[in-house]
Amino acid sequence: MKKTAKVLSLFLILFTCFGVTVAGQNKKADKDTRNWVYEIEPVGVGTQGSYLIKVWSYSKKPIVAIEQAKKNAVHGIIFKGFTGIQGVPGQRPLTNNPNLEVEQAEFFKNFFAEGGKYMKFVNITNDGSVAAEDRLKIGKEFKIGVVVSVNVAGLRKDLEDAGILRGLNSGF
Amino acid sequence: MVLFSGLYAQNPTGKVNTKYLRPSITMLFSQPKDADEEVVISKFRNLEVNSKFDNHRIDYPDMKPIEPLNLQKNALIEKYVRGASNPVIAKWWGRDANGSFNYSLVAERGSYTATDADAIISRGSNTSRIEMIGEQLIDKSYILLYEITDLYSMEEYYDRQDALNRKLKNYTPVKRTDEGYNCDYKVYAYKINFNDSVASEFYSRYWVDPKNPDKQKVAAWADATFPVKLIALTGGSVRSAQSKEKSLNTKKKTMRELLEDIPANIQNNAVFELGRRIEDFKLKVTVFKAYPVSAKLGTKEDLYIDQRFYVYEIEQDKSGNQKTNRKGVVRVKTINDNKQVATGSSLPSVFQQVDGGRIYQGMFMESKEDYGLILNIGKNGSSNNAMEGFNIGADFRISRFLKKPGWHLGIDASLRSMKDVYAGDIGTSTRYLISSSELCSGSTYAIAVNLSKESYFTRKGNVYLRPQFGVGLQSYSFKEVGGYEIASDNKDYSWSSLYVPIGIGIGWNITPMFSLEMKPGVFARFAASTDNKEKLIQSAAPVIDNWGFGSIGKMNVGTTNTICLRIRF
Repeated sequence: MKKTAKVLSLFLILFTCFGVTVAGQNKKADKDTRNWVYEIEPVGVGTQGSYLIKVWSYSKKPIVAIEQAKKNAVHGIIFKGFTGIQGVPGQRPLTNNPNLEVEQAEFFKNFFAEGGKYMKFVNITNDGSVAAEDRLKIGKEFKIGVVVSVNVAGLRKDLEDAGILRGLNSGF
Repeated sequence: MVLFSGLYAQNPTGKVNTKYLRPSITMLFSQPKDADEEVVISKFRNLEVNSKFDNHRIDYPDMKPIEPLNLQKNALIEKYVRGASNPVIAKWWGRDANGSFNYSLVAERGSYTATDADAIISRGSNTSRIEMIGEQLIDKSYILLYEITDLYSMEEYYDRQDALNRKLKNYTPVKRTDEGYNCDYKVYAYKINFNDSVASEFYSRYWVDPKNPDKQKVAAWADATFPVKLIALTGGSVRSAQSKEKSLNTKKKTMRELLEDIPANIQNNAVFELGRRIEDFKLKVTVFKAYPVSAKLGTKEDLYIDQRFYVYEIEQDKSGNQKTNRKGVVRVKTINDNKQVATGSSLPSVFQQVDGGRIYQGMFMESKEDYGLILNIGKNGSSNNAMEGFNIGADFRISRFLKKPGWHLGIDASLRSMKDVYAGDIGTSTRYLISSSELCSGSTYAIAVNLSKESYFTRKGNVYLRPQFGVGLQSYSFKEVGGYEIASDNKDYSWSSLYVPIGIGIGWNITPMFSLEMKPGVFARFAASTDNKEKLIQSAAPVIDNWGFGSIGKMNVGTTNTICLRIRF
């Protein structure tokens, strides 16, 4: 009986430690996301209704930066846009209201939550590994570039349906 | 054998080049000077290039021989190669009889060199990424100019050896055991510069297609050449020979067949040497998964078992300048057949880490080929003093031929001197040699040929096990017995026996080049005989028998323990 109690206690401690670790990682990821520290560059002209972009995210752990890439990509398309390169035109953000994120804070909190709706509109476009040239160590942290495809048409429609963005023909 | 090589700096940008874009190879030749060279060059012309390159064969006349002492030699070679740049670029763009260009070959080669990641990104894009890759490949066009500097038969080789040896005091003619040829060669590796500005000029001055005909541009093409740069120069000597004894050859070749074997040997040596020196020839890839370490390279890149790669972390400073920091060393363990156009789902090849720290997915891998030669220097201890001493050896990697990782064929030797030792009563069936009251001095050696396999059981591969077995010869040579000096050619006092060593090395890879190894083992030594082929008989063993004389006439066993430094080349 005593032995069983000891084993159970050990498991309890292990589970607690594991929980703290995972929570810590998510917290760090969320912190990076809240700061929205990322850069976007075009990779090519996306297929109909989509953008093909590379999102550079920063984190001390590459895996965290990769996880945040999708979220950063959708955030960037809505709020930042990106400048063009040769053969690929730049794109303006979906909103030109600089205060939209604050005004609709509750909506975007849920939208960008872990497993949130943003995931519907973005896909990682690689063979399962970040390319070597997209995994850079800068000081003590990593700068990770992930190529993603963002379904801009679907994203715009969803935000319009939710009343976050005005429709393209609503202003006339 | 490589005589010399040169290297010129490449890639001065601050970014690390992480992509392997298949270079294309155009082989050109210096005009043959005689019939034998004609055979070699004819065979060479039709040789396929290594599969990690694209064969960019053109129809172009051979270079006229240039005297070695001609001060203008380099300029003349460059002029010749520059002339060849015209048909090279014409082939890239599929120039037809009307002078029109097309994208067929560029697109085809672009598709073949594209990686899984390229294929996946291309599917998500409206622009042709693959065609863009194809255009980048033109800037990876290399012209290899092969020059045979000397081609001579083995008879000529022996004549030259004898001529050299005649200057020595004790001249004896060399044994003329082999027949065949030796060939000395040089390879000049030139790169055609087809960067953005050259490409832009090409399009504006020469581009013609069926929709955009232009007679002036077609005419201008006749004088078009493109900038070339000597990137590396290597040379060496190869031999294609066989024993004159028919019984020693599995298949007796004709002299012409021996000549025709030379081009493949030259090409293998040249590609290996240039592959170590030309940045574009080094395989580059991303670590696809870690543990087991895998990467998307394979037969298309001519990967071979135990080929060495370094794994790097790319570090970037605040100015955006990048540098590589080595994190580990891996060797090819299994090879995937990827000789097809990438679709996005090709399987990776698997690598075994053999040195360094933890490797992560996304790190950068680059080939750093070694010669597969390991030198061992150390000390060998044994229960039998005659088996121990200063230890020296060499292992040659044979895994590439066996297609199994870790296998080496080696030679191991231990040497020791012997001073004032009692050997007991030893003789042969016909005569007495040493009595138990006589002190003996001389030397011993044990030399064995062995087969071993380096095996790794840890993820980082810093530690390895190397089981080995072999067969060898253990020998005693006496200089003095009972106060009497023994002549060095006295065969009665030179004894030897066969032995079979078995051991297991436990090694620690300190760096990619140096390893420390401890190798405990056992041996079985068989009865010894004199160099006169007389069996030795021990009639009274010495009281203290540290040198194995007590069991000289029969099979005996013992233990060994070797500690050595292994230096990998």
